Amino acid sequence: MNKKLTYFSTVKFLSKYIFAYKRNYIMFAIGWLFDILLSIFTPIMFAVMIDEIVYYQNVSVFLKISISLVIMILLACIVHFFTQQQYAYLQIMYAFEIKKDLFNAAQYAKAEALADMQAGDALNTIQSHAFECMVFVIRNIIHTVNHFFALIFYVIYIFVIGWQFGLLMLVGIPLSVYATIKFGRITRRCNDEYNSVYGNYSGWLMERLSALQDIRLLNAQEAEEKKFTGFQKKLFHRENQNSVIKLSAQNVVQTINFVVQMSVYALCAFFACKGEMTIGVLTIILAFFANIKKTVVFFSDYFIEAQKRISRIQRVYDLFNLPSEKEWKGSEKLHITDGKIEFQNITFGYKDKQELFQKFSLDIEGGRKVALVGKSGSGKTTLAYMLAGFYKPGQGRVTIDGKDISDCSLKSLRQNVGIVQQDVLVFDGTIRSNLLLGRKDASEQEITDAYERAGLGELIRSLDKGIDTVIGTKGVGLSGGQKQRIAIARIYLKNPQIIVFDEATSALDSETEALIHDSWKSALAGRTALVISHRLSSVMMCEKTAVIEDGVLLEYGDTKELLESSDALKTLFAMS
Amino acid sequence: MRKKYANLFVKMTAKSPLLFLLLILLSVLFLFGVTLTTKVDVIKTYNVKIENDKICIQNASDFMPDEVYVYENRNEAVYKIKIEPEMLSRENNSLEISVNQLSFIPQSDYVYIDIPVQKITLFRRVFIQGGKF
Repeated sequence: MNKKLTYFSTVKFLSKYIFAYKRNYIMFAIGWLFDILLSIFTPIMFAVMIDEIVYYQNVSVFLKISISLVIMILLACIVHFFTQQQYAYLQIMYAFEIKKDLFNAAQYAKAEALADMQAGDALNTIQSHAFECMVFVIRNIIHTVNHFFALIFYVIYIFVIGWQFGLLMLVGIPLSVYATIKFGRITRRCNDEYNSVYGNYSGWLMERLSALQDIRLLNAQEAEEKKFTGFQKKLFHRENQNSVIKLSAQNVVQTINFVVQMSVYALCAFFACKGEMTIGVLTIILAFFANIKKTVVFFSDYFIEAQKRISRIQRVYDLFNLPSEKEWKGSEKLHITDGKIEFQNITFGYKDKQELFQKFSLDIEGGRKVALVGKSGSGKTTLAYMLAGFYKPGQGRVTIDGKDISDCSLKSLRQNVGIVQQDVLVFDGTIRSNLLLGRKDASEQEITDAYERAGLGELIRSLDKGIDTVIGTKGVGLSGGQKQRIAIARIYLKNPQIIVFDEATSALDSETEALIHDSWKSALAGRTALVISHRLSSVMMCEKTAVIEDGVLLEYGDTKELLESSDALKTLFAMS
Repeated sequence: MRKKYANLFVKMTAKSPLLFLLLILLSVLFLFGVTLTTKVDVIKTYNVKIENDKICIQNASDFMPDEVYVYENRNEAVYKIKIEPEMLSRENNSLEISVNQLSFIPQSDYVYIDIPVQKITLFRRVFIQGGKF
């Protein structure tokens, strides 16, 4: 469980990015400081201008000050333009850096962490919440500091003008601040709850939107609509709660401000009656009071917004702190000569679950095709993923040609171990870009050889744009068999020494499966292959078979012999 | 071509601080320049009694005003009186101003008189005195 962020720990967390753009932030802060200083001194100059012309008909001073004010305001507009450019620049670059690092964190998150992560929540975090990091720095650090200094200036100047007004401010401001802090804590708690519900909702929605056909096939639209409504109700309730708190905070602060305002008016009236107040000084007091009120409301809003924002930045922080594959210590390059795989006394269990493997051992000779069979949940896929470095055994080790894979770098490990899954990843893009996922620097000849050997030649030649045809949701749709051939072509390009087929042909009909198996034969020549399958035809391709049940190796031996003698295998394939 | 100008625009406005800081410096120098070169009067206000068409101000014998401002209620009407040398007389550290014909008839014997006693910069009036006289 990651630590809960506070205001200062959020600043510390974001400081790395702030320092990367410190020049821009400094320029932005200077621009806003200039703006605030101008807002402090403009009313005073205006007041002098009024007094000089109203009481003493001093036209020259009036004109000088008014022309200077016009020029200053023009200059301030240009400064404001530059300040806004800084904001726009930071909005893009700062948020981009965070988004890039977040995407990186998601890409390198350990498999266990990925299993817990909801795609919709992660998407929200990367796209929306990353932006909040920038807004936090701008509004909750820079603007807050600027307004804080402005408040000090206003209060000092109010004291210079009249200590009675200063005292009034010193009573009103702390009351507003106290109310703000009180409401701020409640807001933070409510926002944490809201973001948690929203995260669950985003994840749920993303899942459902990608499975609409399945929902229709199950006639489950009504049930899903009820769930959707349920989520909306929860979100509405939370939003309502947040709005009530925010409005309450605003109303309390506004009430305090109103009382102080009335008191200021009363004092002004008193001094005006006594003849001790000029129109100019009255203008300053009212302008300063309005600015102080605005500043206090800003603080109130900023503080409450900060709680909301910190709650979202917490999710950014949590994503950054997902257990990462970058913690993998191995750095040596894996050189495979034979392709011998050994699982030695592996003990492994998923987080918060019972141990799956307890002192599990399995030796696979190099260059052999071995089938891994067993009921669902017996640990077959886990072994494959362990081989590719996605999971690390709690005890024991996995070796390839005698080399402990935990000593090797993940990059070299995955260059040498290829996994072909049931659901082949086909991006929206050209056939070429999909094939190049196998190896991005493959030459044209290598790509052609790969797809010809995988049996895609005929398909590609039949398309108008050939290999540059767009496939996926926005282009030509591919059948299951064609996608499998894409996966095989990638394997040819990647050229790993060890290949794992994880239920790769489960979704294919027998005829297509047979064609794919033919393609496998040439692809697997000289390589070590692990074939995870519930299909007898796939198992028959393999020289050896390992029967696994509940993380235990029941039997391991020649496939044909086991099919005749092994009861476990016969039961699995319903053979008499 | 457009990309070249776009890059130049971003460089001038966002990446490079030079233009921005020059602008800030120009604004600050302009503000200081105007406020330091503009002079405003320091006004002293006295509540005085008009006796025999004369206004007597205590402890004001050093003042040499060219004009004074007389009023009963400053927020209603302020009357400017141009001072000629013969209108002034000094006696026992007090300043006497002859006001033969006032442009208003005061409701009471007491009036307020504002005398410009010296000049200060607008800078001092705004930044140090907070706009007060």
